[in-house]
Amino acid sequence: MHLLKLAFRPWRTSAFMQTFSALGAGAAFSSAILMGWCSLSLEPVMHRLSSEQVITAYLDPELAQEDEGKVVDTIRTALGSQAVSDLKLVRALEFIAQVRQEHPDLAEQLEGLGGAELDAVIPRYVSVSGTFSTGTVDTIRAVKGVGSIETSVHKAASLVGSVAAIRWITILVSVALAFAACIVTFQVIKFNTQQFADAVSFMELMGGGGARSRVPGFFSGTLFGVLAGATAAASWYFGADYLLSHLRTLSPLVSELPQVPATGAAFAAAITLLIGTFSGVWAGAFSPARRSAGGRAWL
Amino acid sequence: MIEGENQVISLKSVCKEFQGQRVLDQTSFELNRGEFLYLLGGTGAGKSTLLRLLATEEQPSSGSISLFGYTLDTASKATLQAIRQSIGYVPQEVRLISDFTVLENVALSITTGGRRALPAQAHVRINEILEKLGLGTKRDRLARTLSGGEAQRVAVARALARNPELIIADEPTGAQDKESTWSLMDLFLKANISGVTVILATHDSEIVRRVRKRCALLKNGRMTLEELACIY
Repeated sequence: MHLLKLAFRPWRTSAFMQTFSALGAGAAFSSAILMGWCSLSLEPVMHRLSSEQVITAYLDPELAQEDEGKVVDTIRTALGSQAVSDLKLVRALEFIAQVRQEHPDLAEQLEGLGGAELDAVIPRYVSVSGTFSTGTVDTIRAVKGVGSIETSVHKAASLVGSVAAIRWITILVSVALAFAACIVTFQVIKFNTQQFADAVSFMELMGGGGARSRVPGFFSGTLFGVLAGATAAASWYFGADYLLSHLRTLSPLVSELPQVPATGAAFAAAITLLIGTFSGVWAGAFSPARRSAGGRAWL
Repeated sequence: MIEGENQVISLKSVCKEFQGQRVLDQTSFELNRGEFLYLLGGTGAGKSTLLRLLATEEQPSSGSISLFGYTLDTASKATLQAIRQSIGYVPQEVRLISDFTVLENVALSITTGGRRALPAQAHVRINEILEKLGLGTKRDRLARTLSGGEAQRVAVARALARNPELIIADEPTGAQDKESTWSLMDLFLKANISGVTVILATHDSEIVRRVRKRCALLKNGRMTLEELACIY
């Protein structure tokens, strides 16, 4: 009881400072974990953007109409077990149908051309979309009946770069927030242990054991950790999804971020509590006031 | 290392320096079980420093200190802890825990030794000591609300309540009126009669004159006089 009473001393003497520091540290820990989670969640988005592509394989103008199906089948076989989301042959009329909705005038003019002229203006092509390995473009190019080939992979490069930059920013913010929260926690708990260092040093002088003299520091750190942990859990539970919903509307780059997991609240609380308790044990063990009242002391 | 079963304190050529200034110079003396020693000397003579060394609060700059037959230089942490548990120390600056009550301050000295709860006989003993020192009605008052003299008496109660084998008291009567002074001396003498070794630093010549015991005089950090039944 006496040791617990000592641990509560900082809360009795500076309740507001303790409370606001714990709230601040808890919110900072929660934000750091949220940013860390964002950086992890952006990784699959980056991977998808860098590997997902649309390949347009233009058919040889000399290719007979009855051989078109064979070329499509050969391309399908060449892709093997790769993740193909769409594979279709687009002829002149299908192309016109595609552009009609957005450009009706252009569609009408193209229709007016008719026959061989239309086939000369609008080349036939096979459109393949999906997530492919790097050598896929060359494999399709080698298919007999394919003239030239285009891929969207280079067009997404700047997009991938932007997402990578966002991801690095989230990592930096996460580390900075975690560092700041740790420093605040360590400093507050060091301050707390100094508040009862006089009592602890005298208890040691009366023969109190090392572990026993660390109990007030342990309790003090745990108390701080409990409040900061509860704050971290609450801010995650009530704020993380709200914050992310706004982030998603901010940029299409991060619109694919998944929902935050509810277990993150428990994780944030546990981590914060652990850091608080560890700080208490650490500060109790290495408190400078325990060393000496003047000169060298027996430890 | 056990040196002598009857020897409680043994100092050999102990020096203590603070920032190059020598406070204790080649101090040597022995004190056996059940002895009572006055430590006399003017302000700055080194009395408090010597008592802090004996209370294991500080290490000497050179020389060796043995308590209860154990040399502190070579004592393990557990031995040092056991030695400290056998000492009742009344520091000059009292050092009560300000936000604890009188009773809690005294009880802490007993539970510090490893007990979680206070045994019933310890409660009785604490109450007896507090009554004897005129603190019976103040047992639930916070230490910070006590006067200097009251705080000093609580510090003495704290030292005595743990049934020490050695009492080290630094000017315990400095802030007391006559009645309280003799109540304190009565407790110290009773403890001494029951076999407790007492070393008491004081300025009060009347105490030394009326209660004749062995004396040690410190002057400029040197123990210049030590004889039986001194007259101060």
